[in-house]
Amino acid sequence: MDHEFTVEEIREAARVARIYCPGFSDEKFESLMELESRADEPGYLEAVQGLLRLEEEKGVLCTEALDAYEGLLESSTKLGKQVAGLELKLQSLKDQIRHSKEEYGRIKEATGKAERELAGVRGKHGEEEKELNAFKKKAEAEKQRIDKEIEDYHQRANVTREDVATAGQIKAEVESHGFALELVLGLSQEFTGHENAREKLAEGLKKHGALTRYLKELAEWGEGQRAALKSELASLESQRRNLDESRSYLETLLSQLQADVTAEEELRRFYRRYQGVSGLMEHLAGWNQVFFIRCNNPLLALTGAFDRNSGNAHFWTDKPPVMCPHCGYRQLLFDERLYEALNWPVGVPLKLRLGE
Amino acid sequence: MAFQLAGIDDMSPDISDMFASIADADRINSEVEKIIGTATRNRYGGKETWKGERWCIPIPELHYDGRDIPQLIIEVKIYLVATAGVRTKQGFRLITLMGAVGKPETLAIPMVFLHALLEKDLGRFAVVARDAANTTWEVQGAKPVRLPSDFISELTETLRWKSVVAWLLEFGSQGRCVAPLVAGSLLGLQFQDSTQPVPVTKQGWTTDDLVSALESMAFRHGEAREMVNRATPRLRADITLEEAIRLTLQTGKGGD
Repeated sequence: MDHEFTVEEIREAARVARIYCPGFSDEKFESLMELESRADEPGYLEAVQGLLRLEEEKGVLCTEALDAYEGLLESSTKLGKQVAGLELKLQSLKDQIRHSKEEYGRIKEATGKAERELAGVRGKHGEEEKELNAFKKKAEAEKQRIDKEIEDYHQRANVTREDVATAGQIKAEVESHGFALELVLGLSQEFTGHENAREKLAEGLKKHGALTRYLKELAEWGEGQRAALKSELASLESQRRNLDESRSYLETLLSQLQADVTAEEELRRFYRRYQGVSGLMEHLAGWNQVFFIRCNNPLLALTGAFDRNSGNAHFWTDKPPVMCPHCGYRQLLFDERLYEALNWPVGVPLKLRLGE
Repeated sequence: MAFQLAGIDDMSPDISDMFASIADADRINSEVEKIIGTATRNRYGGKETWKGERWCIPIPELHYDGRDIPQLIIEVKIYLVATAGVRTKQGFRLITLMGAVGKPETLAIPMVFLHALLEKDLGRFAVVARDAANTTWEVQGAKPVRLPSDFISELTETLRWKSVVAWLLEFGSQGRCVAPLVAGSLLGLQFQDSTQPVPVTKQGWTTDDLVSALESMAFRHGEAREMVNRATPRLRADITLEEAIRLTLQTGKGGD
C-alpha cells in the first residue's frame, strides 16, 4: 500500500519520536523514509554499506566521501604524473646503467688488453735483458779473449804491459816534440849497433800501436752498445711505468663505476619499496601538522598483552585529539616510537616535508 | 453492511478478521439470541418461532494516547448482521437485524510493547497472567497489558511481512490519522540509545519532563503538576523544554 506522509505528518511523527529520542529530527525521519522507499533499488543498500564501510575503516564520513573521492582522483592524477616521471627517470637510470655496463665492459676489455700488452712488454723486456746479459757475457768473453791474445802477443814480443806503456809514453813524448816514432827509431837504429833488435823493436811497436787502436775501438763500440741498451731499458721502464699508471687509473675508474652501480641499485630498491606508499606520504604532507597518538587505556593495555589486535589503538591526527576514536578513553599519549623513528621531539607538531 | 453501520467504508476485511477472536463467543451468542428474540416478539408477538442466519463482525476503532506512556488503543465493537425467518399466523416473514452487540472490548498496546514485538523481544516483559485466550504482561510505567494470544500471534505474523504503517493504513482513514504518531513513537524507541543527549535549549518538552524540571527547582510534585496544568494552554507542542519551563514559571507567577 503506497502512502507518503505529508510535511505536517512528518513533523508530527518527529515530535512524537523526540519523546523517546530527544535528538530525533524531521530530517532524520525523511532520511528514513527515503531509505525505506529506496531500499528495493538495486545497488542502493550496497552503496550505503560501502559508505558505512568507508566511514568505519577509513574514518571518512559519508558527507566527506565525495570530497575524499575528488581528492583521491586528484591524488591519482598527480600520482599518475609522478609515475610517468618516475618511469622516465627509471628508463633514464636503466640507460645510464646500460651505458655504464657497456663502458665498464669496454674498460675491462681495455684493461685486459693493457695487461696483456704489459705482460708482452714484460716478456720482451725479460728477453732483451737476457739478450743484454748474453751480450755482456759475450763481450766479456771477447774482451778476455782479446786480453789473452794481447798477452800472447806480449809474451811473443817479449814485452810487458809496462813496456808497452813506456813505449806509448815514449811515442807521446817523441810526438810532442814534433817527431814520428819511426823517425826516432830510425835515428836510434842509426845510433845503435844492434840492428836486429831495433827492427824487432820497431815491428813490435808498430804492431802494438795497431792492437791498442783496435782495443780502443772495441771498447768504444762496447760502450756505445751498452749506452743504447741502457737507453732502451730506460724507455721500457718508462713505458712500464706509464702502463702501471694507466692500469691504476682504470682500476680507480672501475671501482667508481661499481660504486655507481651499487648506488643505482640502492635507488631502485628504495623506489620499489616506497613507491606504493608515496600517495599516503603526499596526503600526510598536505596536513598542516601531524600528531602520532596512542591510547593509554589500561584495560586495552592488559588485553593487548595477550592479543596484539586487542591492544591500545594507535592513530594519527592533524589536531590535538580529545579522546581515543576506538574506545573513547580520554587519557592519550604521544606515540614515542614514531617520534623517535622520525628523530623529532615527542609531542611537537610535525609538519611532514617531502623532498623534491 | 456492518462497516456502513459503523461509519467505516475503507477498512480492509482482513483487519476485521484479525479481531475475530476478541469477542467472548458464548456471551455474544447469548446476547444475539436475546436480541433476535426480543425483536421478533416486539414485532410479531411472543409465540412465533424464528430461524435465521447471523454474522458477528468485529469493527476496530483506533486511538493514540500519548498521556503518561504512549500507547495505541484499539476499541473493538461487535456488530451483528442477522437475517431471520419468522413463522407467524399470517405466514412466513423475513426480518433483517443490524447493530452493535455487547460492550466494546478495548486493547491498549503501549508503544514500548509494540516496539518489543517488532524486535521479537517480548521476553523483556514479565508474563503476569495467562489463560486459554489472553496473556497479561507487566509493562513498566503502564497498567498490565492484557491481550488475546491469537491477536498477538496474528499481529506478529502480519508484521513479519508488512510495516506497522502499512498495517495501520489497512484500518482506513483512522489508521492514516494515527500512523504518524505510532511511527514517530516507534522510531523514537528505535533510536533511543543511538543518539547523543540533546541540550535543554534544543530538547522538546513533555508534561513529565516539565514536571520533573520544576521538581528539580524545589517545587513539590503537586505544585509542579498544577503549574503545568495551568500553563498548558500556552504551551505549543513545537517549543523547546527551556521555553516551556520559562512559560510555565511565568504563568505560575501570574497565577499567584
